[in-house]
Order: sequence, then structure tokens, then C-alpha cells
Amino acid sequence: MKKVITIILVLLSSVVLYGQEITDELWLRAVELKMSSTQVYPTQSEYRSITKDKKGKVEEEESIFISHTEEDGDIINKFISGSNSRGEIDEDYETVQRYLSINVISEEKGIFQTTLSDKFSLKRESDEKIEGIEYAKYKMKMKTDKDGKKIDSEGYVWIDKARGVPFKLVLDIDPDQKMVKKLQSSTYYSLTDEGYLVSTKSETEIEVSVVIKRIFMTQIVNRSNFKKLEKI
Amino acid sequence: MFFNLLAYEYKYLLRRVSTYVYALIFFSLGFLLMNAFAGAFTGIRIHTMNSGAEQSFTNSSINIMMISSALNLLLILFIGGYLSDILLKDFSHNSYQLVYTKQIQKNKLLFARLFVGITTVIGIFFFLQLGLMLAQFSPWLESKQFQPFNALYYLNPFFKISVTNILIASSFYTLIAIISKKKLYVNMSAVLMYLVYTAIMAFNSKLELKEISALFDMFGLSTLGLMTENWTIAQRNTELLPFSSYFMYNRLLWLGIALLVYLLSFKLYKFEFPLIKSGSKEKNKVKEADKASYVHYGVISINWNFMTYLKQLSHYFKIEFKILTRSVIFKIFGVVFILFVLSSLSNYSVIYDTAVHPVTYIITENLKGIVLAFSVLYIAIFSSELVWRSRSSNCDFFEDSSPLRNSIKAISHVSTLTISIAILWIIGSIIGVGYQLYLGFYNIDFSLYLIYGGLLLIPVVMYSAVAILFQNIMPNRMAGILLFFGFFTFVDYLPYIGLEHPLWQMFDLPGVIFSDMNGFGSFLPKYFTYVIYWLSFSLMLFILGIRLYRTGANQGFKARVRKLYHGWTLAEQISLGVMLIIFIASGSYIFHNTNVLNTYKTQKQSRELSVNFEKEYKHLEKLNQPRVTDVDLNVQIYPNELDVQVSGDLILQNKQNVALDTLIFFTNKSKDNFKFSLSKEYEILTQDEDYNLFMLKLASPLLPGDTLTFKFSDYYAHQGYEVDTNICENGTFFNSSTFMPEFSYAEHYEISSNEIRKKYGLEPKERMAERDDLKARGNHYISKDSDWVNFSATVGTSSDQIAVAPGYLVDSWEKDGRKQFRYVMDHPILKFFSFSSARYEIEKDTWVSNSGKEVALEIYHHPGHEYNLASMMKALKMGLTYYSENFMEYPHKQMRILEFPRYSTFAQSFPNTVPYSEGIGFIARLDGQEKQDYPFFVTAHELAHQWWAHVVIGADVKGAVLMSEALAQYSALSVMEEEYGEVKMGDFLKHELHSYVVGRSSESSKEMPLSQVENQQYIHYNKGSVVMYGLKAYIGEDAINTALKNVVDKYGYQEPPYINSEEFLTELYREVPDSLQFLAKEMFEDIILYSNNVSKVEVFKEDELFKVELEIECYKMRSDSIGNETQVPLDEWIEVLAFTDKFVNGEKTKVVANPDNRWFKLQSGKNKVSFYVDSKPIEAGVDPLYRLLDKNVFDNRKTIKEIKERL
Repeated sequence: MKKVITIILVLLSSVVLYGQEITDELWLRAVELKMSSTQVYPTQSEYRSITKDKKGKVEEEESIFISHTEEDGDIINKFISGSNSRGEIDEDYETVQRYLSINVISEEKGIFQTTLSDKFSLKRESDEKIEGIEYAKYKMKMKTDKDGKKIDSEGYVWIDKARGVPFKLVLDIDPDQKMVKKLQSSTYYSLTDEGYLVSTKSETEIEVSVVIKRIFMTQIVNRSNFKKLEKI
Repeated sequence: MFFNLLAYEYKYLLRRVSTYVYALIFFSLGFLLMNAFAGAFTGIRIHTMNSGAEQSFTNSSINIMMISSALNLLLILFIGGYLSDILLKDFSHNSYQLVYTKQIQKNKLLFARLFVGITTVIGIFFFLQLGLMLAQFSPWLESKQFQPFNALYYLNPFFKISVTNILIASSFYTLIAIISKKKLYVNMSAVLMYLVYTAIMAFNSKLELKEISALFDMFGLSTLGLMTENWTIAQRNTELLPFSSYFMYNRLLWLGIALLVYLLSFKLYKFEFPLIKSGSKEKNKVKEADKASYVHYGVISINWNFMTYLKQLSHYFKIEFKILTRSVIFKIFGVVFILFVLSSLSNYSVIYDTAVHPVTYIITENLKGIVLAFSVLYIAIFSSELVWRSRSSNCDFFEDSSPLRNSIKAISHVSTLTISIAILWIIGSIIGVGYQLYLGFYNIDFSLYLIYGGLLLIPVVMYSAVAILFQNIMPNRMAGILLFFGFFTFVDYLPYIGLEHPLWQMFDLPGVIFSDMNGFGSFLPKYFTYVIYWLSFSLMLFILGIRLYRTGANQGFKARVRKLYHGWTLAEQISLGVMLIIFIASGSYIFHNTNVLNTYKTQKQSRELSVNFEKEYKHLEKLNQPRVTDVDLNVQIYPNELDVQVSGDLILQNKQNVALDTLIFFTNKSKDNFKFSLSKEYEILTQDEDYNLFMLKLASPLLPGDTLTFKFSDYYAHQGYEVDTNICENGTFFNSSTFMPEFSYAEHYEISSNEIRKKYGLEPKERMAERDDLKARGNHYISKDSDWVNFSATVGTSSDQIAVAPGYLVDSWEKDGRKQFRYVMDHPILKFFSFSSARYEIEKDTWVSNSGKEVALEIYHHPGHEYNLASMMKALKMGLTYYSENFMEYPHKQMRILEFPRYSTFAQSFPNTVPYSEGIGFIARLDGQEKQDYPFFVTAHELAHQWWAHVVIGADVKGAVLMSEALAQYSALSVMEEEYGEVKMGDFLKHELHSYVVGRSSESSKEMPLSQVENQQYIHYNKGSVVMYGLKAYIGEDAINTALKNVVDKYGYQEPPYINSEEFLTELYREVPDSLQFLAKEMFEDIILYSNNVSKVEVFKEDELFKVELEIECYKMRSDSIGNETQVPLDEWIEVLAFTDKFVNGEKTKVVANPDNRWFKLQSGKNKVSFYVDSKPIEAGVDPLYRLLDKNVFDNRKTIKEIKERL
């Protein structure tokens, strides 16, 4: 009987938790900021990639600059320049083509949700002071689907307690691939002069083990000069 | 020596009777085919897609070319057998030991045999041409059908196509004969070559593949298709196939390959005895145990009972099944089958090069088609293998002396064939399921794989039974195979010799269509009745086949026929009797359904009825009639019973200046249940049940302006098992023309073909009235008894469905377990209404006009068909915005799309309502960049009809559909461009233009200019799109839309006389600048074609810019109505563009690289054009977005592969 009651309680609790609204004011402020900034885009992005060996020696470095301009409500990506350890690279270079295929404007809310779901959970954990500013630290868990595979991520987000502006999001992503030993992404946010919440920098650290060789890769995206779409 | 060899081999072949028999067969084939084309046989009139036009001659060059080349496929099967006879005669005669020890050079011998074999085959095939030639001089044929004899029409395709194909096919057969030294392998390779070839031919429907297919087609049939697809009727009569372009490359390629294969054959040809493979030593050892002891069995008693027979059957089946499935041929067959299925999967239901989601019924339906096609060949070949197996291995005497009944053998043969085909089905199903999973489609309906498998195996059993019979009748296996193919070809032609009734259509099972909405609908009862009928018939043949088995020493045909009279076992007698009873009973049931419950007419009877109608009632055409002004209907749909009950109150008004005293009307389907009453006294003058015609004399005339009320009711109950795909258990859709009385002369009864009219002594008939015919302009082309009518309707259906008609829902209620819906339209509309009912889900949205008017948008769809709702909804919103802003605000408060089952594949626009087939968009797969979003386009097109037909409607004269279909195309294309950009539109217009050039080449009467189009789809849809869109590029969107707005303002909702194309063009030309008046007039009022192609493109990098240099050739032609072309000078602005890739929102998108510098003045002949672009060009071309009517859509662009540095 005890077992049955326990099962019913567990089922009830899961029903209650599913679809629960988030009431944390600080978080809702961050969501509001994000929602008012969905049509904002950077006019320039730099994609940097650094590969190091296990001793920390840089093996390869690559940097690609892409411009983003608005034409009739669409964002046109154009290659500006690029180089890697072997010299200059041009537009036909595979990595350049990949970066050109990134849609820099996204209407998705990303992690900034107002409702918890079975794929997303959030918990305010503690307060932290970084460079003199008080931040609330949230622990979050996410489940995403990629090509039919479920990917679990876990991380933290820091929100400025005074302004509600997110500062940093660090996510540890389950790589789901034996070769990848570590996959961690950090996103840095800031407010533009116009008051839009934008992500100015993303940094992804990847540790890959190829047979006996271990590679450490860091991919950095720096975004600058943000604008809001004129024609929607 | 060599010439002696030649003489010897010629003598060998010329002494063979089969050489003359083949020559006679080919001659007769040519002679009879040409006669059939010329209509020599009563009831038979064969047309190729290139004939049938009134101005086309029976002996046109294209007809001869097509017949000769189509029969090349026969060659594939014929050459293999014939050639292997001479190449392998040493082995078949067991004389190779002798020949190989003679002093003959092997290469000389092979060359001599090849030379003799190939030249004899060429000679035999020439008899086909002879037959075609001589048929022209048959005294019984009408000479008017023939143009003067020209031997070149026959010799050109013979040498260029047939002879080259003989050389190509022979090379492969030679190689296989030399490697295998077995005739069977050569014959099998012939069948496989045929299979592979037809497979490739069947799946090259994509426009992009046409060129590749033309280049690599082994037998050049698709090359021929591409080379001639835009030939006009005049060209088709006289033009010879040139040895150039695709054809030249194709022939050179394959002749080159053939040469290599011949060389390889010579290299591999050796005077060697075939090795006798010895088994392994281990196998050859006699087991000690076997040697050592003798088993003493004692007295053996045999107990014969049913179980014994079952065991025999089981053992025999196992042996046969093992032999068959382990044979190399079966494995090759399996591999070809798998390749065939794999290559065909992505081509299912392709529209505009866009496939559909891999729903299970699409996969299984197509898989069934493939397996069935394979099965026919498979059964033909393997039935011969099974029947002749013991004889060809000289084991027949052992087998015949065993206590094994012929019936056991026969059942085993059929089971082996059926089960091995079931294995093919299982393999196909595994591939099908894999494909579904690969594309991420997980909603797999496994039951459909089972059901379709079952539906497939029924004909397989029938065909197998027939094949076994034929193998037992004929003296050798090849003759059995030929009889099998001949029989099934013959039964296809039974209707042409007067045996049209379904009871005669041997083994022809009715179609079964699965729909997500309506499942198998009501197809199955009819299907299974025919299954019982033909299965019982085939089982009777099967029993006869058993009686004709060769057993023992006396295997002659006469001896076996004698067995038909004697020695029947009781089981055989009972089986035959039962089958006969079932056959007669099911046949009677079919007859009762076809002829008693429903009306059955032969084609001739139907024609004669039409002829008599026209002769008797043509005068009614001039009779003035009142016109319908108000319609109130009550339509009760009974989805479970598949019945509909209708009643209606119509108000008719005399809109003439004279009093009317006679009323005529035609009812539709039902003559027994139709009832009517009038608000005036009347007397029935005529009631002709053949045509459902009523002619009434009114007691007092109907004065000008007076009205009368006409009440009617009707009840359509489906009769027997006949399938009415309009009324469904789920997904009913029919329009008012199926039941509404028509108060005007029923012109649709008349025969439209002038050829048939002439035969029955009727005058030639114009397809449509002239544009200035004022009487004809009194009607619009949708209805001849009304103008604009007030409409309301109550539609009832079962309680679980929603019923919809045009208008707005003003009330709904439930009564007697049925739902009732009341629809009322708030302003007059055309007398053309739809009625739909299904278990729908509704996708809703709202669109708000600039003036603030809210329009409810609803898509009534089948649950699960949500794939493209967003695209359709977007098209509705964008279309409403574009059309309202540019033409006139949307006249309704609501717009609905209603899905109906895929029995028909169209969408049709009714006021504020568009029924839309599940087969043309609801399951389209639009997840690739190359895909054309045709659900978007179709939605935008049908929505545009709310203006172009339901507001502005053309008079019932030539050019009428210009103001509806061509303008709907233009409107939809404009909306599509907003969504997809001009480059994507170019891809779309390429299809439209290609359809136009192909369509005009198969015109049956005469091509009309767009302004006088006579309901010719290739003109009003395809040419209309290109012309309207092209003109927009030249004069600008604003100019065109201003003209269209003026047309709506001036002619919207007009009363008679209705707008004709002259009035429309007056409005349009007003917006065209003087400098382009000539172009607009040519586009609409003439038949002008261009031949613009780019021969060379070079790109040079100069600093930061790219210089694009093109060499272009341009010509302009004027064509008459049958395609006689004359070149006219060209000195015009034509678009020359380069394209570059641009990343738009992260998506790689092809865009124009020189948008501001696109027009260049080009002249007839060669032109050089150059311009600069600032981004790297990937492609360039002349008129690459198809603004002009170019004859060849494939040569306008060239891909840029290299960027050169300017030195």
C-alpha cells in the first residue's frame, strides 16, 4: 500500500511540475530583455579557432571575419577576410562556407523560458560577486534533440541582481560521442546602448581524443556593432 | 577462306525457317501497325503521342521514327536469342570438338559469324520498315491521310536508330555468349537489359535529368524524345532526325562502348572446350559407410492418402524453390530488382521535381507496380525453367516414372513462382521501410505492406497458372514465353476489336486507390468480385494445363490433347466443375452490376447517341431560355451509405426582350428519381431518357422580366458495387454540375473530334466561338443558363463530419442523428458550387486588410496532414495582401481550403471555398532547397481565382480563359516571387516554358495565340505564365497591375455581354510603352518563338571585379497554327545575367549578380556580351529566367567552372 501511495505521489508531483510557470522576477526580467531583443543582429562576427596539443602548444589557429548587412528584412552574410596558420583563406574555404551559413538572427528564446518543461529545469542556487557586481547564480538542466539523439546539458547562468541583465551562461554538454571528452560552452551577454540584450562572445572548449592524441580546441565567436532589423 | 566462312554461315541462317518467320513477323507488324494507325480496322485507331493531330499525316516522319524506335525494344529481346543461335551453334550441336580441331583462325570465325548474324538481324528488321512503307499503298486506306511517299522517312530512323542499336545490343550479347557459352545466359541478359532499360526510362521524368538521360540512353529513345519534343506539327510531318547535338553524342558514346566490348569479346574468344568442373576430392569419395553395408528394407508398403500428396508437394516444392532461388539468374534478378526499387523511391509522385513525404501507401502502391511489372517477366522466364527443368537435364524419364502426379508438379510450380515473388515483395518492403526511416518518417503503416502484398499476389497466381498452361501447350520454352507475352499484349487490344465489356478484359482487375482520408473506400467489393471471376478462370486454365503435361515417351501435342477427353480424375472433374460454376456465377454478378444496375454502353453506342443528339436537338441551341437568378439547395450527404439526396428551389427570370413559351432542361445522373414542379402550368412536349432532356410548353408565356420558380429533387443511390469517388465515407466532394438541371442546350453531348464527326456526316466543329460573337458573349464560360445568382444551401451529413458549401455558415443544428449546416452567400456569385463533407481538423488564422476588414482563414484537413499547412496559410495571407492591394479588396469575409481524397489531383476554386486534393500538396516534401513549393503556388493560384473568374469572368468565346487561368498564374507567380525571389521563379518558369513547348507539339488541332486560346492548357497555363511574367519584366509590375486593376474596376461582376480578350488587351496595352507595343502584341496575338542559347562563357578577375564575357546566339521565329516557322529579324533587349551565391539569413541563395545592368540589345545570329559583377559568378546565360518563349529551355545557361586571371 505504501508503495502504491508513493507511486501516486510521484506521478502527481510530476504532473504538477510539468508546465510550471517560473515566477522568479529576476529571471523574468532577463526573459523580457531577451524577447525585446530578438530582431537584433551583429554587423560583424569574428570566428576564431585555436587548436592546442596536450602541452598547451598552439598547433593551429584560424580567424575568419564575416559581415552581416540588412537587405529588405533579410540578413546577408559576406566574407570579409580570413587567415589560418597556413596563410590567407578565401570564400570557397569549407569553414568559411560553414560560417556563412549561420543565421545570426534568431527569434528563439534560447534558455530564456518562462515555463519549466520536462526538457528544461531551473533553480536559483546562490549569489556571487564578480568584479564588484552582485549576480544571482541559477543552475539549469536542459535536454535537447539533435538528429534524433537526446543531448543532456547542465550549467549555470549569472544574472545581474540590480538590472536583471544576464552576464554569463556556462553549459556542460554531454558530448554523446566517445571521442569527445569535454564540451563546454560559455556565452557572455551585455546590453547595447539602445538597451538590447545581445550575446557578444561565445566560447566553446572541446577536448577530443583521437587514438593516442589528445586535442584541445577552443572556438570563439566575437560579435560586434549590433543593430535592430529595420524591415521586419 | 574468310569468304567461304561467310558463305557457309549465311547458308546456315538462310536455310533456317525461323529467319523467314521472323522476317514475316516484322513485315506484318509494320504493315498492320501502319494500317491500324490509319484506322483500317473497325474500332482500332492507334495513336502515338505524336499523331492524332488533324494536320498530322499517318506517314509523318515522326510517326515512322517513333514506331521504328519503339520497336527497338523488341529488338533487345529478339537479337539476343537470334545471335546466340549462330555464335553458340557449336555448343548447341555438340560439334565444337570438331570445329576447334580444324584449321580455322578463331578471330576470322568469330568475325564471320558476327558479321553474318548482325547483317541478317539488320535484314530481318528492315522488313519492319518494308511493312510500314507498303502499308501506305493499301488500296483500302484513305489517301488523304498520307503525304507523298518519301523513302528517307523510313531509311533515316532505320540507319540512325535501329542499325546503331543492333550494333550496340549485339556487342553485349556477343560478350556474354563468349564468356558463358550458354544460350540461356544470353537470353536472360536480354531480359535483364530490357528490365534495366525500362526501369531507367520510367524514372527520368525530372526535367533536370532529361539532358543526362538523353546523353546516356543506351538505345537513344529519350534522346529522340528530347530532340523532337518541341517539334511542331509541320516539323513532325517532314523533318528528319539530324545527326547532331545530343543524338550525335549519344550514338558516338554507345558505338564507342560497343566497339570496346567487341574488342574484348575477340580477346576472350578462345578455341577451348568448356571445363567440366569436378567436385572436391572429399565429395567424390564414396563414403566408407555406404560401401560397407547394404540396408535391408524388407517389404515396402505404400499408403496413398492426402497426406502423401501433401508430403510429395512439400518435397517437390522444396526442390524447385531451392533450385530457383539459388540460381545465378534469380540472384541477378534480385539485384536488378533492388537497384530498381532503390532508384525509384525518390521519384514517387513527383510534381515540379518535388517528391512527397514517404507515406506508406505511396511506397506500397509504387512498390506493387514495380513488383508486378517484374513478375510478368519473372513468371514468363521461370515458368519455362520449372516446366522444362527435368526435360532439359534429361531427367524427365526418371521423374515421369515416379508416382508423382502432374497436379502436384503444377501446384508446386505456381507455389514456387508465387512464393519467390513474395520474397521480392518482402525485400522491396524492407527497402521501403528503410527508406521511410531514413527520411525520418516513423508513422509507418505495416498493415499496408501486408495488404498490398496480398493484392499483388492475386494476379501473380493468375499469371503463373496461365504461364504453366502455355509452357505445356507450346513445343519449346521460348515459344511458351512468346505466347505468354503475345497473349497479354493481345488481351490489351480486345477493346479495339469490339470486345469492350469488362467481362472480356482478361485478368484486368479494377484499380484500388488508398487514401489517408478514405482508406480503401468502396473499391474492394468490386475488386474482389473480379478477383473471384478471373481467379476461377485462371484455375480452369490451370487444370487444363495439368492435363496437357508432357509425361512418358509419347509427348506429342496430339497425344496430350487426347488427354483432354479421357482419363479425368474425379478430383479434376469436381475442381473444374466448381471453378466453372464460380466463374459463371461471378460473371453473372458482374454483368448484373454493369448492365442491369448501371447503364453500360459501348464506345460506338455512346458515339451514336452523341451523333443522334446533335442531329435531333441542335436547333435547341438557338432557343431563348430564362436564366437562373436564385438558388436555394438542400443537399443531404449520407457518407456511410454513399448516397446523396438533393432538392432545390430555383428562380428563373426571362432576361430576353421576347416572351418565352418553351422551357428545356437537362437533368444529370438519375432519371428515375428526378422530380420537378413549376410555378406555372406546363405541358411536357418531350422527355428523352437517353439524354435526360425535358422540353416543356408553358401554358402561358413568360413575359420579359417575369420569373418562375422551379423546384426539383433527386436521389443518387450508388448502384451495386460501382465506385463513385465523389461520394466517400470520409472526404466527399462534388460540384453542382453533377446534379443541377441545366436550362440550355447540352453542348457537351456533341462529339468534338472532327475526324469522328466526318465519319458520321457531321460538319467540322469549332472548339469555341469567335471573340466578336455577341450571342456567345451572352454567356460566360462557366455556365450557359445564368449570370450571377443568389445562393444559399443547407448541407446535411453524418454526426461525426463537417459539411461545407460556398457562402457563410449562418446556422448549424443536429437532427435525427445528423448534422445540418446552413450556408448563405451575401452577394451574387457564379452558378458553380461545391459540397464537401469529412472528419476534418481545422487550421485557423486571420488576415486583416489595409481597410481593417478581417478575413477568417481556414484549412479543413485530414488529421496528420499538417506538413504544408504553414506554407498554404502563408500563401493565403500573402495572396490576400497582394491581390487586395493591387486588384481589389478581397470580396468575402472568409477563405477556406478543404482537403479531399486523392482520387483526383486538382484544386478548384469556388467562391470563398477551395476544395484541394490530398494528392497535390498536403503531403509534398518541401525540405530541400531545390524543391518547388507547389502547395504554396497552387494555393496562391486558386486564391487568385477569387478575382480572376469569380469577379472578372470571360465570355464563352476564344480567349476566355486568358482572363481567368493566365491571370491566376500571373498573380500566383507574383506572390511566389515575393516569397522565393526571382531566381527561384526562373526555375519554376523553366517548367512552365518546357510544358508549353512540349504541349504545342502534341496539339491535336491548331495552336492558337494566347488571346484566342480555346481551353488549351499548355497555352493558358504554361504560355500564359511565361508571357504575363515576361511582360512584367519588360514593362514593370506597377504597369501590369494598374491594367489589371482597371479591368477589375470596369468588368468586375459585369452582366452580359461578358469581357473578351480584345477588351482585356485594350486595358493592358494602354499601360505598355510605345517601344514595347510590338512585343506585347507578339506575346498575346501571335505565335513567336525564340532560340536563345549561350555557347561560351568566360570570367576574368580584374582587381576586385569579375568580368563576364558571353557568346550568345539568338533567333526569332514566327509560327503558324501548325508550327510552320519563318525566321524574323531580331533586334531586341534581352536579359543576360550572371548568378552568384549569397548567404541570406544563413541560407545559400542563388541571386542575380548584375541586377542593375541586365538588359542587352541582341540581334539575330551571334552576339558578344560582357559586363562586370562584384561577386564571384557561378552561372551565366541569356534569358536565363525565361522572359521570352524560348524553344529550348536547356541551353540558356552555362555553369562557370573557372575564373581566369586577365594577363
